[in-house]
Amino acid sequence: MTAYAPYQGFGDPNVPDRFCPFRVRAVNGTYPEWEQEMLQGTRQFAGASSSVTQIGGFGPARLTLPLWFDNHVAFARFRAHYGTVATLSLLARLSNHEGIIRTINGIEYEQYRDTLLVNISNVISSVDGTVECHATFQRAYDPRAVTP
Amino acid sequence: MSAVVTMPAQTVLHPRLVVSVAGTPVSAFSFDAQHGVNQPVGTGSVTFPLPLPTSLMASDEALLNQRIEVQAGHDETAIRTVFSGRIDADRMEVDEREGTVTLQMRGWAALLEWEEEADLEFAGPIRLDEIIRSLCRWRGVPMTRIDPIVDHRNGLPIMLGGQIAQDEGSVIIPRRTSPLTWMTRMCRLFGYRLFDAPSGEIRVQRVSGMPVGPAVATYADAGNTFGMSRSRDLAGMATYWTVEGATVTDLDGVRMTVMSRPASVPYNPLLNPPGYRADRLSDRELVNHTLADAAREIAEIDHGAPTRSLRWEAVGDAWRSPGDVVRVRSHRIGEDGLSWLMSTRQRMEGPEYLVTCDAWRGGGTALSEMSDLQTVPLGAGPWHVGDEYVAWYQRPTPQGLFVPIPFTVPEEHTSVAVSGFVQGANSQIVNGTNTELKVSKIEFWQAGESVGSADLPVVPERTVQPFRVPLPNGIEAGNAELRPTSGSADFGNDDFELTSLVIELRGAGRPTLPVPRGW
Repeated sequence: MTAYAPYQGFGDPNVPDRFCPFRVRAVNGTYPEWEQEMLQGTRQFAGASSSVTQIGGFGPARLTLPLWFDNHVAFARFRAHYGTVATLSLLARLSNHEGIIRTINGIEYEQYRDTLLVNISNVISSVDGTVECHATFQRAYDPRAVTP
Repeated sequence: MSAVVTMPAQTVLHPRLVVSVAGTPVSAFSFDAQHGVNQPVGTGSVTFPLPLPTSLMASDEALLNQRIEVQAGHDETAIRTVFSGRIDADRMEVDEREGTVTLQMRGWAALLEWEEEADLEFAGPIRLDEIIRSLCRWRGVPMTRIDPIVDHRNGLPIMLGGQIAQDEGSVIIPRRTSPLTWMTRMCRLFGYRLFDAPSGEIRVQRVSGMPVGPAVATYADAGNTFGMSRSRDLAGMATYWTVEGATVTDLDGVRMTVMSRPASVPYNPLLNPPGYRADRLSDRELVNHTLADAAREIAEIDHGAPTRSLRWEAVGDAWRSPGDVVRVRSHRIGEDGLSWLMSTRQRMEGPEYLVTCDAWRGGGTALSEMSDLQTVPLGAGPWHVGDEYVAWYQRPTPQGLFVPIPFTVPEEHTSVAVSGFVQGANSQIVNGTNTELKVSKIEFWQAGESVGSADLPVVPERTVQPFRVPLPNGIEAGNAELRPTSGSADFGNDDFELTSLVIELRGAGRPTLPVPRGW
């Protein structure tokens, strides 16, 4: 099953020429979650059972989505954003991060600004012209800074 | 018997690193800073991602020799300056994945390093700490904390210079001598150190012997250290110190070397055989016995026990500085006491802020001084030298135009002088008036030959005055003869009388040394 929403994509949602819509292949009706490493070092005190953990912060949060494009042109436009920072727009409340929610044509989208398209992999071109791939998005995120 | 088990604890800390270069904040990957009481200039490095802010990339001057400040710490404790100084060098590297720049930095004590082309002269006597304060101000050192430098025995300030016979009493840092090298040498003589502190100030403080509490921190095995080691070494140990200072010629013409030695050296089983170890130090700035004695006692205190070094690694602490007094505890090593924190290496690697510390304490004991001046009386006399009967002399009848007085010159000495009292030397009463002469002297003879002489002062008849004259440099150890000698003048030979003659020896004799045992 795929989730279709015309304003899911990557780029500048306010400038159509610079926005690349895509479809997300949702498995069992769910999206993957953002993943993030806590940067820490734990050391044991010599001769003791006590330890100290120093937390430097959190590494970048990453989200890998299975994407689907109608044709090669659409994929090429998306691929042109490889390694750039823009806004990731997804259906609202399907991700564990909090973004800016905008309602367009009755559908709620959640937008994540300053997101880096850091990887495109597993590109598969089908005979019907569609293109599938896995795309990894990355953003700076500190869960402690979020007010519940 | 069951072991005592301490409840384990988990501590969570959040380190922070803030770096500013030429006043511009720049996010850094890592830093590494080294400070120590025996390392006057603090050093370190910081690594940043490329590109740096444009303002720092514009030219060599935009980055090199610019001020750099590193602040580190934890949210839970304190974030403080852990390095302040200037950028000495940089290295920029780029590869297929990333670009980084590493800056090498040096602390503010580097301002005291470079040599002047002219002598630096301070009118003496002058406090050593005042010289240091003046030089720091002159060289524009931004921050200092200079403790009074005092004699450890009585708390009186260490005063340099004031010896007229040397440099007219001035203290001189010769041209092409690094002021920093000179100051650290002087401080070390009296148990002090000059060094860059992590906070950015140049610090002068006592680091000698056993530290006196309270400790500012405790580091414990099975407590707050990741690892600890202790080493003890006899190699640097010395219990018999000879300190030589300035060699000066005093107003009487006697050439003396300031010297300090212990009266006796106790037996130490750690150095057996022979039960002691000798060492010496010399410095021309030790212009009197007070300074030489103070320096000797410091050497005895700091080197009279095995060199005891401790090292451990712990969570970084922005409050820690070399020179701190800390308590170090380890039952496994057998350590529990106060030590001087001698050096710190603070660094942030990834998410961890760590510090490696070195500590030390002196364990020797100051010894009583051996008096440098020994006197050998030659007798009360009197000795009447001349050819006339002089009624007012203690010995009116003359003994001859010269009077041989035997004495012995010791093997080891730094100076020998003759002193006593004299009447009527180089003076004749002519027509009822005392007339000055320059004919009578004391000659020195060895093996049947004259080896030198010294003029007697002019002392009028019927006047008794003290005198003191040096022995000549050519005199050797062994038997010798004083020959007070009457000189011939217009109205006959000069008669004079000597009493209470004494040979003054400096640098003679040896301390009582221990005897090896069991060998």
